[in-house]
Amino acid sequence: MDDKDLLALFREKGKENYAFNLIVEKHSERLYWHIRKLVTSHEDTNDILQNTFIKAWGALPKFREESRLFTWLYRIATNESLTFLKRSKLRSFLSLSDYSKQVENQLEADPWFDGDNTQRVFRKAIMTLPPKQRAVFNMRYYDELKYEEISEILNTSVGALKASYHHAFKKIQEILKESI
Amino acid sequence: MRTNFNIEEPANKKHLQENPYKVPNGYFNSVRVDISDKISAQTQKTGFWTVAKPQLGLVSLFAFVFLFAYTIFHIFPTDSNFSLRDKSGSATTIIGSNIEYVEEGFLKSTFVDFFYSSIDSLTTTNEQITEDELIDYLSENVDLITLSYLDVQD
Repeated sequence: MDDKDLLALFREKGKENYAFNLIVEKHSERLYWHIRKLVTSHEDTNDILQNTFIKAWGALPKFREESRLFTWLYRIATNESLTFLKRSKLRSFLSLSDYSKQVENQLEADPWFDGDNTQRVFRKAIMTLPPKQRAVFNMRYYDELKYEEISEILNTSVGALKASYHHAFKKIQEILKESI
Repeated sequence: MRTNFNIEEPANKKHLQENPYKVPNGYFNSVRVDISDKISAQTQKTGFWTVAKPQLGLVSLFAFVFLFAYTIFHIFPTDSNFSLRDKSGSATTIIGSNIEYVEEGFLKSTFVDFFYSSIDSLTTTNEQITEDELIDYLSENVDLITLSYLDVQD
């Protein structure tokens, strides 16, 4: 069933829960990986994913289909992840701990990371980027989204996104040159 | 150290795009159930109580503030035997129907303020103010600094 049919089903009285379960079933996995690449930890990703769908459930009756359903869900997930990252950074600032070191250790200690050394160094390099730049890089590099789609999700101009990706690319390239 | 590693090179990109993360077995099925449970719980919550609860909370807050203020005025009452000076200068105690306002706790001060303010107003009386009365009034109500300033102005 495509997103338009799912939304039509959602608007039928008494079928909201059923339709929403279908939406969760269809989009949860892809959204999970998008969030996971931004926040790294499985437990945090799980919380953010659940919050994303709970927010979507509350806002879906007002969704006017000006964008695609998946883009809209992607936007909620990205905003939730960026808010989470901002809070984490603030929390570590208040506890006077080194945030970048914390993130690095998190990846080292992650029992759900199964990559080789190159992938580990690459992930660590991505984690050094500012949250929004990281989101741009992930969406472009991993998900291969078009700049127009990313622009819709992040509400940022295509020009600014291109510049952001270019900076991120250069920074990661530099880190990898030194580490691999 | 290798200096020619390019993340956009197709072979490198393919390798780096591989997902290095894992999830616990059966995670995606269990998360769907968790989300569904949370949403069902939210839907059930939206009954009469969910709607009425915040409003009842607000009403109780107002009631609490009112009772608190009422109690405070009862514990620390203002002087209940007050008097006014009539035209002849003799003291008159408020009696009759006004006394019930006086006994109404915090309403008392409001009423007294209103009463005094209407008596004090020069616009409500045709009575001539004598020089002695004016000096009495000034000596009671105007501080020394203001008076000395007036001296300098003269």
